[in-house]
Amino acid sequence: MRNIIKSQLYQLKFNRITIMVFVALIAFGIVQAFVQMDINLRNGKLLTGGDYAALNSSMQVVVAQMFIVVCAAQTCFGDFVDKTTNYELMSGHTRAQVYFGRVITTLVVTVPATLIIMLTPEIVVIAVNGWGTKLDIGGMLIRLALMVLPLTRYICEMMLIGFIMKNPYIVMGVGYVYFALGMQFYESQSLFLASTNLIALSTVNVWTTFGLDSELNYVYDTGLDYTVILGTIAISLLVGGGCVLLGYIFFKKDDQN
Amino acid sequence: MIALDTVLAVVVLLSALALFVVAGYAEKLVSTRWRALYCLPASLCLILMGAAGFELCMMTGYIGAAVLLVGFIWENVKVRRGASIAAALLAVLCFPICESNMGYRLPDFAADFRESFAVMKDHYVLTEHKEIDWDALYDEYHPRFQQADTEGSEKIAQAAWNSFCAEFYDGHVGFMPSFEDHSEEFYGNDYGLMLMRLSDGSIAAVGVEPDSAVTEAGIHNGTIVTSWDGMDPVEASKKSEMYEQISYTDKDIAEFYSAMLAAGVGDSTVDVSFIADNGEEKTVTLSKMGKFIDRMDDTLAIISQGVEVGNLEWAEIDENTVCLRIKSMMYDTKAATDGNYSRMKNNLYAEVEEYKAAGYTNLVIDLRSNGGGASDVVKVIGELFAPVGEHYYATDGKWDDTLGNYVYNVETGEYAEGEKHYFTGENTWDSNPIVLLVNAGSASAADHLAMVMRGMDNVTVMGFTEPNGSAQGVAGYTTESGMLAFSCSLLLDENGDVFIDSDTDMESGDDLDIKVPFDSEAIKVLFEDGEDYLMNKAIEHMSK
Repeated sequence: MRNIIKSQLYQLKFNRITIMVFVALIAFGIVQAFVQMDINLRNGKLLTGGDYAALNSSMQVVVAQMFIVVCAAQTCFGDFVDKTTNYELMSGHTRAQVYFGRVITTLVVTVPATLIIMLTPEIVVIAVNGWGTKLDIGGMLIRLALMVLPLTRYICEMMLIGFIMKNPYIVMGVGYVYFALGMQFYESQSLFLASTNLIALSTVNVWTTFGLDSELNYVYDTGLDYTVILGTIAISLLVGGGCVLLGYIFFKKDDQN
Repeated sequence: MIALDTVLAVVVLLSALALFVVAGYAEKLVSTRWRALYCLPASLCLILMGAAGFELCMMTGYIGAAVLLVGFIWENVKVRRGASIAAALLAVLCFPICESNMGYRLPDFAADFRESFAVMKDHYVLTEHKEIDWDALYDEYHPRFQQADTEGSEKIAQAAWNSFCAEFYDGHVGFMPSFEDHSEEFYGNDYGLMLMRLSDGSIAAVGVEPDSAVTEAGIHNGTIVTSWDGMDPVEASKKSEMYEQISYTDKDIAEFYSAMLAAGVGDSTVDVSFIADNGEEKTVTLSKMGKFIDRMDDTLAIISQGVEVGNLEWAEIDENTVCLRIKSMMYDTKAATDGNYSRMKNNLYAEVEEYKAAGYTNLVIDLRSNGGGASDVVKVIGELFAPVGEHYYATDGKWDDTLGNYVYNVETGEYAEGEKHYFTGENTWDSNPIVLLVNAGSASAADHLAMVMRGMDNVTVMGFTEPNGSAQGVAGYTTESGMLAFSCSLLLDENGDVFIDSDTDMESGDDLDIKVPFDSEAIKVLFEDGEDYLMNKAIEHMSK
């Protein structure tokens, strides 16, 4: 399995699609950060890291999902078209080694890369204007840690589709349809879809008060209801684990032709 | 059942039937991708659950979708067909379970109450002013919402919300349900009339149904009613289901409406005692003829009527008097977005000059049933009609970003003051008489306008009751059950006290210069002659 992981990582270095999308989204994040800071400055306000996290995190989640579809498809199934798995099986690797080698590589690469894309604009704003005093950083870190679970689940769902379809471009197509469906229901913030679960975790409760002629005062609440925390953990593990298991059951007996 | 749940159940059923038929086909085909069909119902189930949310009554449908996954794992034809049959049966079971269960797709009332309560407790700005005991309120009302969940009753939940909001005696605290409005069930039956308290303390019939059993019995508009359903009418009012769900900010307003709910109390018939035209006390039995809420709305519309023109439009009342009707403190969306009301001011200024040039000397500003809006509109009106010079408006409470709240000194019991606001008067009406007509529906920014103009020498604030007495900024918090609105932006007066809103003594800071008696003459003019009694009184006052 180690050799499979190494070979997947080696191939990824030369995967132009994934690298280009990653770089483009990092650049997009940096530009977005500066644009948002500029817009706020023109309105006489300073956009701090806390403000950005409270008001724009859900936008970052949308961008992240678009990246996951590409990265998971290319990392796990980029070499399916030239039947690399057949050669891996013929060279003596077991089905389990081939399968889990790819799954582990995809998760290990995609999750951190997605987090980097999500956090890039935030880091830029913090570097320029600091975190501020309105938003509890501990609460946001808990939310970020929880977001890893639906991100992982989303990747597992893409991998199940990929092992059935055996084509990275079909995975990307189906993945974008799934992403679009999730965006249709984003207001529900349901825990049953990975995309809406991510929206629920990234949306901070914002309260505003106002004076007769003065600016709005914002109060942010990062607290999460225990049902959201438990639901995120349980559903992400259940569905994500289920997808990995079903993918293996399918791959174990699947004819690789 | 809602559409999405029906779709889910039908999809699982049809998928199960289709997969039953094709159970053996995957083995006959070259590609094993056909096995993926057994995952489709579960995937669709997740998507529909994401859209519609989880519902316990639909559990059999969810399990049915999961059971079909067996066909993905086991390739045995018999196992696949067995799973399809089981899934089909489970899907069919959804329909009777959902249709027969009272709690189907109801919000979690107790959870929504807890969530809204926590937010309101953190952000309600009049906690100290009104001496709110949050723990006691939670202990009293949380069990009522739990009962609503247990019984699957929207009506119980709505009554609990209304009663909870009434505890604050704040016109800005209210609940708008997302479910069906059950208000008409709380108001009771219509017996053909409504009761109102007169200024001398007696109770009179108003809004009497013409040419009905009520008039045949000898009751007409203005008839004094001495007893309702064997009780004093004010006591009868307290028997109404709606009584604990309504509160007023000021005790004078509460007194004005103290008999309003009585005429909805009763069963299929009710005994009513009244003073007949010959001076004798009579008792009659009236039968219910409909829903009380309809009569109450129609009758209150007559009592609370404002001049029938559009917002910020003018009406010529007589050769000397013109009326500016302000139905709400809003101008247009552009002004609201930009915060620039110069266009409104210029237009109003031109209109005022026009009416002055035409010879009008008396102005009525009709604020009746004005629910409020932008403070900028208050400033524009104030600037136009106030005497030349600077006038105080109100003071913002002092906000602390770190606290995430207004600064309140617990030891002194005072709020810290922020920015003070003033406006500069231009006296465009040349100090000629101005009457502000108000009622209990004149709230929020309308309260502000009445308050800032009341001190002016040429201005008289008139009405049956003072304005509502709710002046703080308001915002809402939305849950699945509905939206809870409450006062969340603090305003103070010149002395650093809360601006206008009453405390536990239920005396709001917004008073009348002339309280017009609600008496038999008022009833005759309003209900028999069909005239605007308060407008007549305003003209009479300005003619002196």
